[in-house]
Amino acid sequence: MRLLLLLSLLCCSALSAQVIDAERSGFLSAPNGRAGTWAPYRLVLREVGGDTLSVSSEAPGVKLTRQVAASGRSELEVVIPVYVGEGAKLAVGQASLEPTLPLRRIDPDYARPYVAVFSSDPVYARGVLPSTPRGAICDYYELAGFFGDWRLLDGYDAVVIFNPLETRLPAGSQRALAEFCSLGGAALIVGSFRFGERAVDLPPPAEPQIMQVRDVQLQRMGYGAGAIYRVGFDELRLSQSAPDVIIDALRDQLWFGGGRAPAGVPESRVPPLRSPMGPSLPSADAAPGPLFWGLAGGLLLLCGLAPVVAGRLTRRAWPAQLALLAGCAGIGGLALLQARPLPTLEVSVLVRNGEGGARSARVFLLAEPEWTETLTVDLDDQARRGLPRKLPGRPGWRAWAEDLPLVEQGAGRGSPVQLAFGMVGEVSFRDFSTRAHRGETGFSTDDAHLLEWWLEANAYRGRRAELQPLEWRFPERPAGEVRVVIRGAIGVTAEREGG
Amino acid sequence: MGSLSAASVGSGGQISRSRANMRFNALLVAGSLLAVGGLVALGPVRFALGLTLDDAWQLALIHAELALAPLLFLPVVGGRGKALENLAAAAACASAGAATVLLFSFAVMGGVGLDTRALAGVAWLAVSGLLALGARFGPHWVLRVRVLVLCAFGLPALWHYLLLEYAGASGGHLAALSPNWALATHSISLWPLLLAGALAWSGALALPDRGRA
Repeated sequence: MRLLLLLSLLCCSALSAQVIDAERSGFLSAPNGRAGTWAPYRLVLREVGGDTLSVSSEAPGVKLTRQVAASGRSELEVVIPVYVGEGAKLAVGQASLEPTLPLRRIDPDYARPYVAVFSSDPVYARGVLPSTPRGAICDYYELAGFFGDWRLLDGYDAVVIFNPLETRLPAGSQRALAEFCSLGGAALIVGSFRFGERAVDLPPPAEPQIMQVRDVQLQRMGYGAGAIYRVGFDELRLSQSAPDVIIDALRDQLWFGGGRAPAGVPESRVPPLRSPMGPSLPSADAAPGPLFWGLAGGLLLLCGLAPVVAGRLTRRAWPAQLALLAGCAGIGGLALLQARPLPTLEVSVLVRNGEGGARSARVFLLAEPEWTETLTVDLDDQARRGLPRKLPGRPGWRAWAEDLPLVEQGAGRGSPVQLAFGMVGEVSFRDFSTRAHRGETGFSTDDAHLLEWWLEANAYRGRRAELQPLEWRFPERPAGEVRVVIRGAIGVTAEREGG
Repeated sequence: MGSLSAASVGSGGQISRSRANMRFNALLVAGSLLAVGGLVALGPVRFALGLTLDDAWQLALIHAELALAPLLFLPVVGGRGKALENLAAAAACASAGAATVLLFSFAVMGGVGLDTRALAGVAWLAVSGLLALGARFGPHWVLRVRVLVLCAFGLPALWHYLLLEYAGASGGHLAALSPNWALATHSISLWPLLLAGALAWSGALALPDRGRA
């Protein structure tokens, strides 16, 4: 008995062993943070017990999980994406923590990109690329700790890497960088850069282009919706205006090669305030199956015959009623075994094409609440690299937007159209949206909602793009029993000024 | 005593007919609810009611079950022995109603059918208890109690409206008396109906037979 008590005490202590050190835990980007995105968070755990720990980072409607090896260690540091917004929560076993959110809110801005700067000498990096009101907002990290998951870079517009020592990034970090660029991010590498796309099975970037930015020559390689820039370390060091060269290179990508910032708000992974989904489809009429008809007939037969049969056997009424009670309960139980309609998941997809072989997608999900309340993402799963976030949904539905890097190209369903100077072809973008809603274009009327949403957000000065209706299917079937309806899919290829 | 006996003899045929009705009471419940389910599935009815053939279908059937319970339960008039038969019949009716409602589970994703069984159970308990209590006093009392129960179930929403309109006060707490209103407003409270049913059945089973009294 004592042994049992001792064992149970030991088990209980092991279960609730780890303690979150709230003082030493915090956002690595603090005091900066882009609301509505995921930012890198250092979680410090003390009194760790067990071989592995399951760490989860929760946001409204989304849960990210990661397994961490903990054997033989009393203290542990984990870097995990944490949502910058209300409802963020970290949990490790029984312990949980509501993180203190970054104080400085960084909104998407064409003029002032939000940059993660990695360098083996962060002090040098601060000198070369400082945060300035007219330049960029920078967070500085050690190059040795380059993230192995693009989801830690979610909030950033660009990544700058100072690599004078020819440090080769591990395969995971190379993949993270490629995924970040495919989602529209810009990466600028100062110094040696060996991308190694063959080594990690990544789509190749476009052919390098030589650019002259101020007094420095650099290479640009388009990668999906994003781009990779490379400049020699010595060339930059000898330049008279190194910070401006970096900012100009980043703006070259963010401004689509133009000389001034486009109008409006830049595309970012911040969830949109207005849902791009059209009205949900009416639910399909449920039709009774053979089991329904069989049980209904059985119920009527039972209720009609049981009193007659019981009346032959006994003059008392209650035995028949009790038999009915039992029989009806059985029929009710069998009725619950009938096949039920599956919840509907409506999907609209915006595929972002670009240069090279990479492309990404933003998938808008609108689901009936019976499907799931929370989308769970296993950060250790190398096959699923998406990052969802909750969207405002209409009553009775739940909505998410999930960013998927490096997706397959879908076949076109119609001819592409060109957007330039607020005109699609020869009509204004609003007229084109109206025509799309009427089914007078190559886009379906379901595509029209997504098309209209994208045009309203982007069809302003400085934006040129090719738009095309696409075929699309999920890389992997969504978890759980659900009826998937693809409402629309359009491809967007942002075009640079001057081609 | 003599007049009571005469009344019993005079209404003997009526009592045996009501006993036969009671035997097939569950059939009446199941048949009526299946008919309501079929009626709701008809296009014109469905469009007029603004219903779709999904969760709303079963919910409409549950509302029909709650509303029709006072009309569908047919107690046998008589003494304590008959009250016991009424109790068994009430259980069979509630079970038949539940089976019919659950038959329509094929149309729903959630568990509204199962979730409302407690409410339907106490509604059947209260209705059958009050009608069985009335049946202890004669067929006329069954009719009177039926009208009273229908008023108690149906009128609180009207009283609430009148209170809001003319007194500026809310009668929302009266939803506990009306199962349909409680279901519609998600303010389900089982205790008032449970108490009414328990008291009514206690009375129906405990009251001495009139012949012995």
